[in-house]
Amino acid sequence: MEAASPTPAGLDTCACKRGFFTLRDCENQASATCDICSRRVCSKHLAPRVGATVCVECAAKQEEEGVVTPQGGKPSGKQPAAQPMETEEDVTYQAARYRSRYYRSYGYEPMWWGTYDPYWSGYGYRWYDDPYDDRDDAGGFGDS
Amino acid sequence: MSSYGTLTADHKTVVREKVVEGDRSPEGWLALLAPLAAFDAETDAARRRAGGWLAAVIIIGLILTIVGLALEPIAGAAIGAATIVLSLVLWSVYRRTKKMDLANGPLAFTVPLMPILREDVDPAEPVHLRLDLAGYQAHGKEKGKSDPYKKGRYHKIVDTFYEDPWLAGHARFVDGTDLRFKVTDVVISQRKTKRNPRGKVKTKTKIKKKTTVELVAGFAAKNYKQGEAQAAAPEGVRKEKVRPGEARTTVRLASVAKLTGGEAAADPRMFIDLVARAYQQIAPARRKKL
Repeated sequence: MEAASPTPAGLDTCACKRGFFTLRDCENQASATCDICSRRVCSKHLAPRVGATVCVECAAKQEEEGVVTPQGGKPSGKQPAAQPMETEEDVTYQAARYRSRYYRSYGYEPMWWGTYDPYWSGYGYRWYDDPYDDRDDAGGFGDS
Repeated sequence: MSSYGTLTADHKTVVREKVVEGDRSPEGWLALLAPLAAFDAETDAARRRAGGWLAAVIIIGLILTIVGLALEPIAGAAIGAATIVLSLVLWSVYRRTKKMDLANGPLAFTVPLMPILREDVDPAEPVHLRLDLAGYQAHGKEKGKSDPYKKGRYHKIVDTFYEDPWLAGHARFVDGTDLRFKVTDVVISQRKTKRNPRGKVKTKTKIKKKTTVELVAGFAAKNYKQGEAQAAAPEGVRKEKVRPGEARTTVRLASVAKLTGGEAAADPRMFIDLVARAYQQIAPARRKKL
């Protein structure tokens, strides 16, 4: 798998968010399209799936909803990153899975420092709500 | 141990010295600590196996030797000699694995945190860690002993106190947040002796452990300000202090967990919850794309 490289904003960049306590844009060059959400994602944010291209965020969501179990069929542990982490993709995937579970289970709302993405509309997050700005853009930062 | 040979020089140094301190990326720490955790699990299993076999060999060997000596003295002596040789071999395996043993708690706590920290840590700033894997019984960690006292059926109780600061570190996040943290175990080993109605003296040791995670989070004023007052602190969070400053808003938090047993490991979620709680005390001060 080709290593992802940062690209200037506005180009074909990965749609996944990096971070756990805060969320920001990934900014790596996208190399694939997620079969579920149709967003463009980089190689680092692809879940280790056989026969399907799924981003780590969709994979985490699916696993939480009980649609699929992670590769190897092991159920997710209660501790962060309880599964073996042999490759960088594993580490990213484990973090995404734990992040998704942590936000939903404990109601944590991360700080949002990224570009607006309707994908995240189901999650609560915090951003600076400018009292002098009338635009109701649900936080985040546009590409312009 | 076959897997000892597969460890790198760095790993072997940690196994030997049982303390590691330095600056590495979360990936670097993961690469160092994850194989050590796997190695330690393997040595623990080997030690338990050797201990079990040692006990079995001594008991069975002793019985067979006595029976053998009674029936056929030469066979009995041979069995006795074989028992001694086998016991010595198993004892040496036990001793060797014991010598290489690393405290389970610090590894079980730190390794799962690295993929989480990796998400937020500034790639330009390494994570500083000092990880003590020697365990609470290591030299210098005993802080005192109580005078023997009586309680209930126990005619002699002696409490031994240990303090084991096994993790200290510093990390800087991409948003400019500065985290300093420390994890300390306070262990009380209670050795209780009683005499049962038949006059037999029985002694048992009970270990109680209190793990404290302390966190000081400094949030850069350019990105964050003090947030609205939060609801009561979640269970386990003992201290909470928010101090707004010109350059940084500082949030101090501590969380305590009570555990039973010397090998009991604190849940890494304690740390994650504290950082999450610190972020809940502040609010973003501007719109910015990191």
